[in-house]
Amino acid sequence: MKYLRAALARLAGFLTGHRRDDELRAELESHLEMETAENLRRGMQPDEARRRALIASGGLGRAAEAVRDQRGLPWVDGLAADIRYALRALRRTPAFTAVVVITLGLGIGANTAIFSVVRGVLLKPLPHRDGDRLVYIRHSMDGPGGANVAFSVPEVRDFRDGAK
Amino acid sequence: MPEKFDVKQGTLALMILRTLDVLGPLHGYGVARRIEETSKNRITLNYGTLYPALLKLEQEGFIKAEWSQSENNRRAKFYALTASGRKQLAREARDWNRTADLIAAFLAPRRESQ
Repeated sequence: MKYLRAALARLAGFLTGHRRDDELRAELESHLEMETAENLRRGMQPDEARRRALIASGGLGRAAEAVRDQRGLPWVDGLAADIRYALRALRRTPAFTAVVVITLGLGIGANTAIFSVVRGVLLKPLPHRDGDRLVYIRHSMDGPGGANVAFSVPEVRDFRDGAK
Repeated sequence: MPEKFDVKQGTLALMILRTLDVLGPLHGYGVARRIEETSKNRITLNYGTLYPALLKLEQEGFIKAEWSQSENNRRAKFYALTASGRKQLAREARDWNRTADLIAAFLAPRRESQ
């Protein structure tokens, strides 16, 4: 339940989080102001008070970045950035891109073609009822025209009855 | 200068929940100050540690956040414990005490030796 809720919140943050950047900045800024005010109260000069508060904060930009990582789905952001980077790199080197595309295209095409044949010949059952019980019969004799002699219908019936 | 610890994973959440339980609704600055004071300044929280932890607790539904006026008329975002946060605090405190007892038993000085 806790995880589901957190995951949904993160998804929502990923989709709409950028709208909350101003709010985040205001929150961090208000923290900084309170810390500065406290430093002033302790008797520091205004510049020094602000400077000390900034040092203690560890950097507002870094904090905002850490919150953004927690808010959204940083791996999706990272993935999108990687894809953009890859596309840009490919556009810069068209010859390399062409070689890669052709190699992949031929490779995938050849595999698809071979698999189609293997599937049709070896893997797919014959398109008949009881395709695995279908047999091919043939007989031959010496002499011209004897390589594949046809069977008469009664002969085929005899074979069929005998095969049971 | 007292020795500094790194805040261990998961313990910061417990400290925040407990702080909000004791002090009621509080802004990030107040939470940080309280945690630093309670730890006698052995812990210092920078914003990059505190705010992601607050957001995570909010995402899990243990605290809720609301902008309002602070004691000296500054606008600040106040965090408050929710009912499920109160339950989570009780659960985590109990687990933590058990773990601490267990480890203490293992680390106790050996009585049988010498």
